[in-house]
Amino acid sequence: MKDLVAISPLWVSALTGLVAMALDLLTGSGRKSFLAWVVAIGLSLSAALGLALWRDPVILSFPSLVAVLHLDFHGAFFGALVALFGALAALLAVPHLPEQGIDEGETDALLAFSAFGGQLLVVAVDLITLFLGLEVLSLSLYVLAASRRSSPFGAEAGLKYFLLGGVASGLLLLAAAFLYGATGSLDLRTILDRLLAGSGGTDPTLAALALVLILVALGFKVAAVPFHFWTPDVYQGSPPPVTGYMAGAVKAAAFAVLARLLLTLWEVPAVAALGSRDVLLWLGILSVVVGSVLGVVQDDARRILAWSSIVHAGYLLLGLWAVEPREGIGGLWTLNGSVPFYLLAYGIASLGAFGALGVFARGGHEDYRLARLAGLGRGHPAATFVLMASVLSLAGMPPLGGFLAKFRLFQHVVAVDSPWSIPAVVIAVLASVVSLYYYLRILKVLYFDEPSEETAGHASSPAAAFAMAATVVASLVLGIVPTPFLDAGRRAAQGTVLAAGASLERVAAVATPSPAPVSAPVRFGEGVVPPDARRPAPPVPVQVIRDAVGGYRPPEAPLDQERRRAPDGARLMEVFRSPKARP
Amino acid sequence: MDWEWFAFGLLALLTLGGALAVVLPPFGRNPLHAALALLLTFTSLAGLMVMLQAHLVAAMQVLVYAGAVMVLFVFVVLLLNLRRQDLGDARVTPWKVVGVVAVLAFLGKAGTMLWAALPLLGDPASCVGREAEFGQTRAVAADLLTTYLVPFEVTSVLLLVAVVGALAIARRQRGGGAA
Repeated sequence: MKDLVAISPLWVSALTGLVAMALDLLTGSGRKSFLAWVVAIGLSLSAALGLALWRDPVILSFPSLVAVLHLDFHGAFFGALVALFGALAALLAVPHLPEQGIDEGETDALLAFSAFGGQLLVVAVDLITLFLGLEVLSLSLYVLAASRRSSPFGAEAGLKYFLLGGVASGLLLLAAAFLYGATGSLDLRTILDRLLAGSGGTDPTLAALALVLILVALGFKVAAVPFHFWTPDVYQGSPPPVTGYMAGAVKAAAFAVLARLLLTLWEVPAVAALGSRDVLLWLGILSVVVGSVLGVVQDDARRILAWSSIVHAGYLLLGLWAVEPREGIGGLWTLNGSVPFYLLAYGIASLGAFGALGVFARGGHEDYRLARLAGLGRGHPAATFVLMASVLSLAGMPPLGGFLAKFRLFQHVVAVDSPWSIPAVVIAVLASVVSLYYYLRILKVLYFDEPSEETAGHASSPAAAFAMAATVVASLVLGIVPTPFLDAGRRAAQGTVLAAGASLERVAAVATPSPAPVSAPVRFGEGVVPPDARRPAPPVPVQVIRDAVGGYRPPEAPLDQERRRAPDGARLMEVFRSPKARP
Repeated sequence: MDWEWFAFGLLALLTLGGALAVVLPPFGRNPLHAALALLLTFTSLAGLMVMLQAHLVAAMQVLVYAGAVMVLFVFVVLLLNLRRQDLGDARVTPWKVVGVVAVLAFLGKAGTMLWAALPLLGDPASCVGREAEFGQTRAVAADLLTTYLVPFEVTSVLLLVAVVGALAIARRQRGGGAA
């Protein structure tokens, strides 16, 4: 029961999708807009529950949950991002969909399911669960991308995203198979422990190959060069609110899981030696340069924003490259705190931009070429203001959230001890100057060009107006009072590396004078060990665990070497997870 | 040479050969031939599963993939009734060349790395989880309902999304005409 409460953020969002589908059946056509509110409220509730319940790492007791989930603030933060972006997208889609003949509740239900997938993805530590989360997230989006059924662009977007996404998923599965082959486990914590212990036929080479495949698969999801070819077409063909969600939520979830997988595997020296971290640097620089240069020659507002999303993926990869040493548990790296904040600021700005862009559709015909947008700013002052605020935040202008996010991220990149850190930042800054050109071009066209012909926008709706106002307010808040969000981002980043979960046990074992009671050999699936066995010394554990996360380091035992030597943790975790381990 | 290695080599060759035949000419040019080549891959894969003691997975592979999925493929191919000229000409584009080179480079790199690491791989008998019941229905079911209960349930959400999505895309549009 306690566990049911602990995982409530997950089932609340899945339930939201089911409720939306059920209500869809009960309501007549033309009155579906309240479904968006249902989904928005459900997903917001889920986000709030996550932030409230998962402040500290949750100790689950139901074995099936223990085996696949790791609930901590990392999951809470990124899950909340996905859920909130889903809520905003549902509201933004309200005035947009009826014109496309999409007067059904399935958009709302699919958004809720997709958010559920994203939330599951960021808390999963089991590769099967992780893959299923990614598939639920993506499958819903494939359908949403294709939801403009009347338009060939919609079909192209859906098909392209589906086929390439399928290949990416296949590569991720192959990576999971390699990891299983290397270690005989699908659990990230066990995988790490076995690789560190180097026992039982583990093979760092296979793990390094898996790392490359993970990078390719998730590089596709976040639209990093050279896995970006789908991005402009899909962003152009999907309904704008869906595109905003695709940009914000998928990036948030995919970066969270990419950081977790890569940094966890890089804990192992042998794997880190085979698959160097600098590949992130090169992918990041490539994305930044290619995205900003090719964005200049586009003449469709959505394609411009698509290239901008590639540039942002590049910045984020640089941020991921700029890991910082994790306090306390020796010698390990963790995500720096600017990346979660950046994902928050970027997602909000991109939802605002695409949401506002959706207002300029000409009755049924979606045309966002800059020539058609000329002068529309005068007819739709509110939407244009939202677009301006969002685009300026994307460009990184103070006092909006995007400025601070970019600033912090560059600070972290500069601080990296590498000959490439300064050149990387110089290139990134130059690229943001180049991309400023196309951001400002959209605004110039909207405000200063003469209208080419009579154009009509959507009838606005209170839901979309509310969501757009919310994005602008959020961008301003992130820029003006960023401290709580930066702190939250830092906390979320601290939980990235999964060793935390596994090595907590290890820390408890090392900090205790005699870890003897638990080091008895226990084979997987056998042995009846009382649940308390995972806490060797009753007075120490919880506080030690807290201290360890917050900077505790036993003076006499260098934990780093201790971790690498002791194989106990692996067995310990198996007992911990084994369903039969409970009397 | 061990018979087990011989059987493995044969099945692996058939699996990979079938998979290549699906996409490469001459079979790949004809959708029906490609489907038949895929059938070869599916069946050989089932053979590999049997060699791994995963009898349940092998049976599922035959029933679901070689049976149901393949029937569906052939059905769709016949329904679409594509002629050769509909498919366009086989062209060698620069991107295809880049793709082939990239794949070969990855395979070469991965192959050399794995070859070098081959002695590191432990004795298969020592693999964790190889209990007596490994791969049998009972063991798989026990895992599905204990360790992997969450993914098992999430699969139902995934299938629901797939059904809703398929309906949403395939359904006729309201208020006029077929989609």
